[in-house]
Amino acid sequence: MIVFCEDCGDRNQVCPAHIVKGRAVFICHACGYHNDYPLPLLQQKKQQENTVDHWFQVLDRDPQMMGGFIYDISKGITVCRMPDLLLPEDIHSLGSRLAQSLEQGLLAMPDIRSMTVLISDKYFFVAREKKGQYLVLIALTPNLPEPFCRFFMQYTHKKEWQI
Amino acid sequence: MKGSLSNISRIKGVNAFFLVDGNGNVLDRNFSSKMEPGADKKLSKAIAACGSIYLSISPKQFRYAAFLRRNNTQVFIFPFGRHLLGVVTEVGAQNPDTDRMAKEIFAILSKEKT
Repeated sequence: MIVFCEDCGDRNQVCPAHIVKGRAVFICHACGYHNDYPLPLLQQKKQQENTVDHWFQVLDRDPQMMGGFIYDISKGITVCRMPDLLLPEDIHSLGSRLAQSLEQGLLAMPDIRSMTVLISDKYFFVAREKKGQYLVLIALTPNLPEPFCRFFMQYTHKKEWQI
Repeated sequence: MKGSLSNISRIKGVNAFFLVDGNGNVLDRNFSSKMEPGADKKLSKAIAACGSIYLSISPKQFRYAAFLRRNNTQVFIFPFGRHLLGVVTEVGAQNPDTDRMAKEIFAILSKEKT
């Protein structure tokens, strides 16, 4: 997100780690001033709405979305919102195989942005944020419904969360 | 060329396709424009490797996979009997219509199977 230095007024782009309990805590890239000031409430709300946790909380509000998870090679499933009938080991195995296939594709085509797999009538949208960490969203439609499409694109472009 | 499989190259937006076996050996191919040297071999190996993973997730229900690349081209992988079909789209489409193209390829593959 974009925040401004209290001292010189310069624009600074910061990641969510620099927002601590509703306060912007960062060192200005231009003047080196140590900023620590409360964010306006609206900005705090927008920041919360753009977190991975938020997107997973609202996944089941869209009837076209089946679920989603984040698979990490070393940690396993770190965030998950999937139908109850699937066992954790099934989701882990699915995440592992989808990650393997994306990596195989990346070996031949390093410029892959994302992967879609149609299994039965479900579309699995897979993107890699960084090596070893993958976002999987599952939908009943060939295109992800908004706003999940935007969330997925942010992930595929490896951008920091922005307002 | 296997029967009507050659019709795939007539689909709008298709640049190339490969029919590969489970080891990535190319059984058939068709390019409408040249590919970089060695790129087809890498691609056929990736098609076989990825295809076998999708089939391990669901041998009967895997329909297709599509990789979207930064230049907006796509690489599709379809199961085709005991083999895999890879289809590469042309550069230039701004909003690649994955589903439309997949349906057209499906139609050709289903004719080929019957």
